[in-house]
Amino acid sequence: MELFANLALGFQTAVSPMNLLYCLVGALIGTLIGVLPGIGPVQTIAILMPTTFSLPPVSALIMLSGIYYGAQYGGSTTSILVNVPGEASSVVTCLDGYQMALQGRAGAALTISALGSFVAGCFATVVLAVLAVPLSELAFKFGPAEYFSLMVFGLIGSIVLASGSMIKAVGMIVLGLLLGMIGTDVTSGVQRFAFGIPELADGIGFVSLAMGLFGICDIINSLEKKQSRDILKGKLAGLWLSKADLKASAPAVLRGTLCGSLLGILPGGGAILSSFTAYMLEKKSSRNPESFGKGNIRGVAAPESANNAAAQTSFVPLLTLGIPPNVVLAMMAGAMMIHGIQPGPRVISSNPELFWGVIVAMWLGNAILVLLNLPLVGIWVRLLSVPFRRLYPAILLFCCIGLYSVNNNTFDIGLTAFCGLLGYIFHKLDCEPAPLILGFILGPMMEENLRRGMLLSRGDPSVFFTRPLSLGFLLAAAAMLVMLALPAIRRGREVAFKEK
Amino acid sequence: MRSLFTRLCVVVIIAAVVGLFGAGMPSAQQIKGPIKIVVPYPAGGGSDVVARLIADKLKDSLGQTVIVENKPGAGGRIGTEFVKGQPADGSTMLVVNPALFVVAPVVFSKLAYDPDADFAPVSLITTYQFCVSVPPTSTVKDVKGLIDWIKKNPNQANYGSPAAGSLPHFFGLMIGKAAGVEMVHSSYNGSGPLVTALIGNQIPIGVDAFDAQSAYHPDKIRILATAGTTRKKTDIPTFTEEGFPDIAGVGWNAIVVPAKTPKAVVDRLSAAIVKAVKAPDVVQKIQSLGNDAVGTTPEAFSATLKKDRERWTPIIKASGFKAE
Repeated sequence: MELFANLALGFQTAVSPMNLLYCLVGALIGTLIGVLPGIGPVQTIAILMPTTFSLPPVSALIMLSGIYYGAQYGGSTTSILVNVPGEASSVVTCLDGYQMALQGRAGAALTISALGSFVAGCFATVVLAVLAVPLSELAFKFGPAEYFSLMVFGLIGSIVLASGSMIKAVGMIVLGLLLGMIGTDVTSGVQRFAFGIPELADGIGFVSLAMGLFGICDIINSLEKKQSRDILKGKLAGLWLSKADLKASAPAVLRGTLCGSLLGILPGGGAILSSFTAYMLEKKSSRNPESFGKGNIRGVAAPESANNAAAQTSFVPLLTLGIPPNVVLAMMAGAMMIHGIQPGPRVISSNPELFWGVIVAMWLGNAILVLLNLPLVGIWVRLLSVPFRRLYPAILLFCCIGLYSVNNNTFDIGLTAFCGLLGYIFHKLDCEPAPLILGFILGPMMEENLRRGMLLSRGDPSVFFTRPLSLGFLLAAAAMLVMLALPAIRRGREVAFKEK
Repeated sequence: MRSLFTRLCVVVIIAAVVGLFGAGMPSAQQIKGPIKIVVPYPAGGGSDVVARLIADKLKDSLGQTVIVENKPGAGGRIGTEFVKGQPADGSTMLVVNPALFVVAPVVFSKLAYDPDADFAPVSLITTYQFCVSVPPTSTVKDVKGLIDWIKKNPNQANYGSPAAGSLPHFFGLMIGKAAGVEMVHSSYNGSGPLVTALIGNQIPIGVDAFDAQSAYHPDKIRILATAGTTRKKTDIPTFTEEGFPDIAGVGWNAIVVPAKTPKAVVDRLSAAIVKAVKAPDVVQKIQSLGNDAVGTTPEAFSATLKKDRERWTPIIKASGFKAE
């Protein structure tokens, strides 16, 4: 009963014409910047934050959160159309989404990503409303041992991401781990492999790495083969989903949603982990895993649903505990502080209209987004018919603007160019960048938690096996390793490799 | 006709003379805009919020556009190095803290800036206090109890801080020293993860800025004491009251400008900043962030800086911490 009273309060707050307008503006801006490669919600919120000072705090938060999940919607658009992941969480979408676009099915890919995101958004909003408080307790069960074991599980699982040689996939993961070592070590505060360059003291920027390895590298490849992109011109039909598409993707959407709702709550990379995990889950549970990476619609539906669900549930730790789980939400916490609201466990009781208003506005925002995005699908797809020689300078320009705005520093642009070259070499060697990216993200978190666990137990490694959650993850990782080593599966992978 | 011509000439000459001298004269008072306040951290953090509050007020008192520019990276060192090379005419200010001006010169063998040679102090704007806390389920109820617990359980005496080489890291060492035990330090990736670890009872002791933890006291995190001369909350004593006057030290945010900025410009900026920081609505907002609004002259800030170096340098050196 209390829930309904709370939701009623939320609707009262969110449905005022002024707040609806800010919800629409936020969602629209979010979609637009999501579509522009490189300019993500972090930079946009940083730029727009001063303009929200004069707004009432509820309206400000509704608009800022609209930008955040709007960007999750829009971010997939560039992943699918031009293979440039705008957001860390849409890297996985590149794998099958871009392949679908190359096959002339960009419309179907965009539609399923919008619909999947909507379903996920609705579900996650309900989760947020009903379970916010009990769910926030989950994060506390995670000590260093649990995090470490979760990362081990994720890393072993990431081998599945590759569709080619397993040796190469492992090699790329290890390279990703090594690249992740660059920067200031969290445990000791010492700089590693920074070579005295202050810009490297924080490590290689994720945006630079992902944009270089995927987007820039792909532009180089396309320029090399002159006609590759012109294939798209003929086959633009099929904006809507076929029955077979719907049947294949509906369960994938549901699995992705569940996966994202759970992992989004974990502080530190929940949204990224969730899209990777959802993809791995789909590929492992599929009867023909070799079709992934070649334009399987389930490979778009699952991670897209997962990252949107995770974007919503990542508000749980912020709104219930005041702990921002990622950079975007850290900025929102800053925005709340400017308005004199200390994010923390007291928000629900001291500002109920803010808490419930924002939750209801999220659901409304998701509805607005799907209405906004479905008609746009046709327009985005038409972008592909722009000759590539006209399109790529624009992509490069937007990438540069976006990269510069991350830190107001030109170093990142140079770094991205370098990563682009690196990606080109990998491409020539048939090495896939996705496992590298996962190693790069998980490696530092794994190391930090391994060392913290060992430090706190004074060098006793048994903590990783005596804590039940941690043991569970390690056992699951071991099981996965066995599965990968099973001859039948290995043969399956070899067949897939030969087909290439 | 002639008289009109003469009058015109006179007007033109006067205008020219006033223009010539006028252009040269007010440079000491009038600062060329737009004025930038560089925050060497990402938007949304504590020092960014304070800078934005002040920028809003300075706009009126300096009669110029005042913008906040974020230059994050390398723990603030990139932004600091950037401001070092900016024109020394008062048009670029920088927000600094003890990590950049007290700790960095000790722990880096090659630092790209010299806090004293490259910058001139303007004003210390806010201070914040450190606190020591335990998980809510802990048996420890006060500082004395904590010291006893550390003495009895030296093998579990681990404490967490938001970053390696941060002031809370070194502050924690003082607590270990009071107990005569070398506590194991574990750094977290910021205040958020440390708070989570404390609430979840993953670490027995936490040391951080008071404002990072005050919202969780007393249900989720039990704050045992704050450093400083007065209580921040009526139910949380200070270390001095608990009988440990040696466990002390506060953090601060301050404004500096490039070293060669003329004294008159520095003084004008300082006066405007003090006025902005002491505006009632700013004071109230800064307090709601858990900080204290201060606002000092350049000289008073210099004195604080000197005192803090004397306090922290031996502790940092004794810890053996090096960033390279």
